Amino acid sequence: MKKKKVYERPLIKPIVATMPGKSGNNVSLPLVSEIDGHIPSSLLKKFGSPLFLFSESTLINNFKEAKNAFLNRYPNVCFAWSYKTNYLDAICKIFHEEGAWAEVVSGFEYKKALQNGVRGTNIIFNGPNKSEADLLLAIDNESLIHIDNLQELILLSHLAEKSNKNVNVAIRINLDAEISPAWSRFGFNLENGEAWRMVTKIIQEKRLNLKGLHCHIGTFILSLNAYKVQAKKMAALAEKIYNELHHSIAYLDLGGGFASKNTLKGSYLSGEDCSPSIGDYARVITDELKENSYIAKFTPLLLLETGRALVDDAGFLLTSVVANKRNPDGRLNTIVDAGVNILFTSFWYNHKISATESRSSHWEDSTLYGPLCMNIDVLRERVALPLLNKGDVLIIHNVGAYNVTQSMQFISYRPAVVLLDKNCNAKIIREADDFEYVTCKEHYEE
Amino acid sequence: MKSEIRLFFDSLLFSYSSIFFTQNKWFGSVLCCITMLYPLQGICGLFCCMLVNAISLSLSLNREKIRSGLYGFNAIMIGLALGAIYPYSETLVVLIFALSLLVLMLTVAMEGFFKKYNLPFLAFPFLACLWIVLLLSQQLDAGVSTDVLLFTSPQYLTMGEFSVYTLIEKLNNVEMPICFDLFLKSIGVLFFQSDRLTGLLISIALFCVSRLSFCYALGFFLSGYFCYNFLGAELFHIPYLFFGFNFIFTAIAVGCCYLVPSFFSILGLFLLLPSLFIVVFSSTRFLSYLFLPSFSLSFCLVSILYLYVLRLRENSNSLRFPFIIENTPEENFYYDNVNNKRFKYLSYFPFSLPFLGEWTVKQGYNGEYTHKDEWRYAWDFVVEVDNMQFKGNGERVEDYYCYEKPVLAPAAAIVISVCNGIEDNLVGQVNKENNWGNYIILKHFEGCFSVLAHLKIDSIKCAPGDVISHGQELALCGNSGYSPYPHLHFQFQKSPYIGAPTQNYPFTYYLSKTNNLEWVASGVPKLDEVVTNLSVSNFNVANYLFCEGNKIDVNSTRFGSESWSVHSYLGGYYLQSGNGAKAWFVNDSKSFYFQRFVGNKKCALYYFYLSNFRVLKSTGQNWSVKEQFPASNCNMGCLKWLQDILAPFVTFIKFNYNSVLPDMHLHSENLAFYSSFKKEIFGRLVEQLNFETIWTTANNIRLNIKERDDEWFIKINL
Repeated sequence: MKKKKVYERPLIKPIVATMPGKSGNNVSLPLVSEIDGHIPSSLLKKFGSPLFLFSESTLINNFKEAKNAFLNRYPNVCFAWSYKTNYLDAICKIFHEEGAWAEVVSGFEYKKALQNGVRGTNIIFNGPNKSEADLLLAIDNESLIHIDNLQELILLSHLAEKSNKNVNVAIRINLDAEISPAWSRFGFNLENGEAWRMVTKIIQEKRLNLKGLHCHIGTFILSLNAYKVQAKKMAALAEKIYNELHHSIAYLDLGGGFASKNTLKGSYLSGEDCSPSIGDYARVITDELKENSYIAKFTPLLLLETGRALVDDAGFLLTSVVANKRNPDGRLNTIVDAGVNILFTSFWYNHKISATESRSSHWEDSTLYGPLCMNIDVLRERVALPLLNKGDVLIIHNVGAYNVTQSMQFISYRPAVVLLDKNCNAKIIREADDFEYVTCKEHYEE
Repeated sequence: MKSEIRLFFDSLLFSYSSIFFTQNKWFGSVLCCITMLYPLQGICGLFCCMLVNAISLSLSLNREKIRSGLYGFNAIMIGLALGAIYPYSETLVVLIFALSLLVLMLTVAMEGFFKKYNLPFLAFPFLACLWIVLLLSQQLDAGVSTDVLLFTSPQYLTMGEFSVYTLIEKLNNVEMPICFDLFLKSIGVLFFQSDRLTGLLISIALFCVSRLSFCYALGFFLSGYFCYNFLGAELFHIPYLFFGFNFIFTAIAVGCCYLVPSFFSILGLFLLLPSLFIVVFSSTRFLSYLFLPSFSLSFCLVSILYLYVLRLRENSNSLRFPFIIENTPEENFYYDNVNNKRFKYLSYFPFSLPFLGEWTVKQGYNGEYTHKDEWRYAWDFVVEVDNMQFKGNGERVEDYYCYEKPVLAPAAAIVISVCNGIEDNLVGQVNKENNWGNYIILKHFEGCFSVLAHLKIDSIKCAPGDVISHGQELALCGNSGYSPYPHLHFQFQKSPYIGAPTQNYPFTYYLSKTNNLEWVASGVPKLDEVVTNLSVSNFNVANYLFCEGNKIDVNSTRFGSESWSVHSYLGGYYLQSGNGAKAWFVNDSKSFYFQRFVGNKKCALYYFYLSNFRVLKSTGQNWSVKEQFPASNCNMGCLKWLQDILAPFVTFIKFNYNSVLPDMHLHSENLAFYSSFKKEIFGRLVEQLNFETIWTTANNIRLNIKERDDEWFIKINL
């Protein structure tokens, strides 16, 4: 029997009689027909559309690469997995198995870390809002508590006294890393002397044991110099504490903020070309730290809370085309079944989007809309796509960070999350919402 | 006073057992009883020994040496000889006093003399005194037997109706092959009692104490006997009892006591056979002119000669001396079997790997590309993630994980020469003019240089003449020279020139990732092995503990309360528990470990020894430390005697120690450490104990043994 021909949508293209631009006349991007050996369309058939996908081997390789990048340059390094970036248990456990600690910013995340088998001593408790109950839990489990404000210090000291326990703490500082915007809302400022005053205060507290210094200069930092400045200033503070207060700092927590391969909106070059690699970050940080004589002598632990750079490119969002439509001005609109409510990061990034198959050699620029009945639901203002039909599958890349934790149930249900494990099995790690799940917390009295 | 009495009895019994090169009170008392079969001799021997020990104590000789019977055993022999030669008389009493003093002086003098050559003095003092007595008796001629062995009327032990004589006669009349008859009598000759009963009793006692000694003695005696027959020499031509006696003692001394028993020690004995024959014949002949017996002279001469020659070897891998001569040959063997591997690293200069983090060996010794011939002892290291050396397509040197990673000094050194200025190659190209690229040559000590090559241009941070410290950052890994892709070439060599022949030398104290994640005390990383240095130590808890003079209180649910103390002896340190058991330990910057355990095992100290056999002062996820316990320190069960006899050929009972490095965390004041003890017979697990030790800075240690429901608390009082 003769095979039925696939329908190819007609395309009318104006002839532009000028010299080709730098990317030529015909814009086409490589198709991605499989992820870790799985065909996207069959995954969608099995688990429903849209679908979040994570690749375990990418996660592990990212982590190992990051670990090597630092450990090949500085002998005492540890990573703490930033829970808020992605706190799906399956994802966290992969990092913990590779030796990562946990960095949490709420009681909820703290309990999740405990449940994932992280020892209390290996949990870093960050964040500007820690409740009394959360602090007590952390004190009981001997976690490292990073103090963000004076009220917290007073409360913590009181709780430690009451529970008759020594608490290991770090002080969160903020500093001018020669970038804009400077994050000054977390912790105590270094330049105006507030941080130093708090250090002296903490050291005087009997029950508080100042173990570390913590600073997080921002997010998606593309400037290597910022880390150089941060490392220098933090090392200098540790040295000053040692010299003047005769107190040894056991660790420096440089936070995270390393950029992933995503492209920020407004960026001329793509992230794949302009984001520094983890090795670049490691080089500037460790080079700067080793310049400091205190660090060189005592090699305190270097803690890193990088989240995005480890997980972003391990996450994919598979989505299906719902419809094609043409604007009155002739521009093509493509509507897919994944909206901004589950792809929160589309507000910041121009996500890389690939098609999985193509029926012709022609590509056309299109605006990519989500399924929400809201005008803001735009995934990409303009993206080159092959000629698609309803039901065709698109892959949105670099969605591993923040999207699962920040995705919102809105209008419809949140999709399932699937992990492609080392043995090439697709395992569901979070089920899609359903009617029962979404409505079960509601109360209505007749 | 109590300790004096204890010392007195210990020294007496150890003196008896020292005749057979062992230290065993039970064996000592049995030997003492055997000598009493001939009461006069026995009492003379006992008296001489007591006298010598008392004199040496009053001379303030080393108490431990006195206790070990070092000075007493020659005295026993000379006492026995006097009792055999002289009937009871005043002369005998006078001679005992005179000769005790003489034999002690000779013993101390010979000890001092032989010590210089690291040799034992064996029975030389006794021989000298024996000859003196015999020469004297020729002069006195007071109706004494001039030949110690031709007793005119030996006095046997008699108790009422019963006389040992009848028993001896009965036994002597039993039919048995002449070789066994000779064997028993030859052993008896040791105590100047050439009858089968003495020989049999000593043989049984010896077998109970040491299977190996007995087997060596019997085996070598029989082979000597058959050789003798084969040569066709007339059996009664020479005093055959001396003949056998010398063979038995040579076998015990150089077969398994002063050398570790092994296949090679047996082979060595057979090579000694002809020399022993010749010396026995000729010394007997020579001394007969003086009317003196050669007695054990041949054994002493041949053994000393043999040991001395072996001491002068450059390489003693195959026929080893025990590090410490333990109580029995079995212990010598089991300690050596384990320690040879365990402490080998101590004989090497401690070189660590010249980089930070995990690197993979891409070309090892005798590599397939360039590590050949004179340059075969070298390594090429790279960094890999998921078995890939690079990310992306690997077309740029920057894609390679190892590129621009710091390269460190493997040990303190002086920079000899530096080459810089050679551009890094493009991937896939090599620089054939400057094979080594940018390199650094370091001098660590005389005759030991190391070379770090293919470094990145302009990355070298040292200059010739610089004194650099261990682990100092020297340069960055690059791709210069004969290097198609970025890697670090490292080698040791004997001379300071680039391109000199390489030297085989191991790294020490590193972690290796092959099948398991394992600590390596010293070794040569092999192809595809992933290696890394130990992480920075935050296990500094142990540094403060177990200093000399510490008193340690231990409370255990199983053993109740026990108290330990820390002592030092000859530069080593040991923990001593209340029941006298000693556990020798070392607490250095890198690890806390036990060397040996001596004494009663029914104490908490023994389990502390088992659980903290080696504690690396480092942290790291999933890295394990594997070692073996000396089998003699553990309960070997019913197969012990079989294993003892087969020890030189096969070890089928193994006691394994396995511990896991604690995970890294900042609570260094409270470090949990997990270890296990496993007994395996023919590779099958028969017993396992799991330990959890928590070291704390509050000067205490908590220990849990799950299998025994035992919980401990060790409190160290400074």
